[in-house]
Amino acid sequence: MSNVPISVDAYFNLRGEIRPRYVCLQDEKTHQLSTYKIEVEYAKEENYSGISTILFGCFIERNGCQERIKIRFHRHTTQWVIIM
Amino acid sequence: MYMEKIIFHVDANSAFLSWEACYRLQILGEKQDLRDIPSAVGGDIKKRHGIILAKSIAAKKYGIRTGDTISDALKRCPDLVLVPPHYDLYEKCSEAFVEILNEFAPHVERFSIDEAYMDMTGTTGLFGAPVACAHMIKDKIHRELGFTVNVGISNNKLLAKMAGDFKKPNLVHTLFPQEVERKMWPLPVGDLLFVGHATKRKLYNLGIFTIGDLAKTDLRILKAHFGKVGEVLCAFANGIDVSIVADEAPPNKGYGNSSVIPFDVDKADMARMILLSLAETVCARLRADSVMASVVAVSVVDFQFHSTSHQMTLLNPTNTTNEIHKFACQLFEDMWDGRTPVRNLGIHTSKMVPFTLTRQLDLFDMDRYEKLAKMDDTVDHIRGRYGKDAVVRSVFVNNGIYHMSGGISREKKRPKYEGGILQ
Repeated sequence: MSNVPISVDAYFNLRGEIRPRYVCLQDEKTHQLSTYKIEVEYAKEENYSGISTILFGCFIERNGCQERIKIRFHRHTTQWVIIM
Repeated sequence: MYMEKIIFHVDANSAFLSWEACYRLQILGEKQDLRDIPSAVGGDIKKRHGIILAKSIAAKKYGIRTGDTISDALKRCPDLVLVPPHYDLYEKCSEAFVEILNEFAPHVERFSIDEAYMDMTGTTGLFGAPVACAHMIKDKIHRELGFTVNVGISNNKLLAKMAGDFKKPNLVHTLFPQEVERKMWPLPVGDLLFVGHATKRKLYNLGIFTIGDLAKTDLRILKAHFGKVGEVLCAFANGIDVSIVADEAPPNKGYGNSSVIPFDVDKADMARMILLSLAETVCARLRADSVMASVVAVSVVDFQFHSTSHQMTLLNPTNTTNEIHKFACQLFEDMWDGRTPVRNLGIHTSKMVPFTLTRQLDLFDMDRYEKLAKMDDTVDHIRGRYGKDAVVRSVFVNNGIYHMSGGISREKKRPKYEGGILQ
């Protein structure tokens, strides 16, 4: 499995759309949890297998470098996962 | 003005497998696509539900067919990747699939969980020529839901279905009446809709091997051998079908459930208990649809796969669990020798009548049916609100038998994905 559940702080914008704001990620080496501010590049609604999700392409700044990540929000279960 | 009918038949390719593959790829994030490797969706050998429900094209190359036992399939392909069924997901996929079809057609008829007919008559102005429209639907399903479908196009449901079953996957085929001779008649007679193994064998004995042979056979010969069905076979072989695309499914003619028992049953008490769990399921369905059954049948499959069934007509139609169970036990005791181990039991009801509270009373019958009916209603209500397991008969407590057998088990509906997300 490569989709890993993650903690996300999200908000609803003026159009009522959900948008991620902060994400909590674990460092692979030190296993330390850190929170990063998210900059959303794009949001794409998907309905694969009849399961309604929103895919977000985002940027975070980690260790002084900008990193691109993809996270998915599951509408029915209100769960966030990161696509590794 | 006469408008030529245009019917589409849309069929998901290897439905269960491609739905499963799509879910694992897109939602769980697995890297391996089950469709690209020899893989299959199958039951659980330990519970004796060991058959192949759907297989990939790569598995098909090993000679694996739907309905094969898992042990046979593994003999043919030891590297076969087996995944358990996940009916909750399949229902979701089916809903989403039909939702897309509803965007294109005013009338959509579900033929099964993965197939549907669309009446596209008069939609040319909206979506273009039928073939272009079929491609549009096929591509939209692939793009939005992630799985492929075949679309068959014709003037009636039969030919559309036959066209949909031509070469797969992800293709559009036409089979209009003028193409029947060229495209359908050379096919083996077993490929014709509703020609099963028994009919095929009979037709082979008559020297009828292709659909063309059947179409050219004298109707009197077919009627002599098949009765009324002979007329249907002749019409189908000639591409004639007058049924319409119905939005709503016709009412059920019968309700039944059967269960493969994980162990061989050799005690009458145990068999009665399994019949009770089946009666619970069947009667709950009867009551949910506000119908009562006039005929009850019980089927038994023994450990050597010999199958027998008995049925009886009831004096008063009923949907009361205790009553159906009582009759089912009578039927079972009539046909069981008391020794042969039983592998599968089933209760089937037919000759439905609308639910009514009044019944012809019997001088010597002391059962209090009104009270039983009230109890069933209350139990249905509680189970509807708090789940099936909210009320369980005490006889099922701690004995290993699930109190509502038959249909799709909870494990099959929602198997656990290791580390994955349960929807």
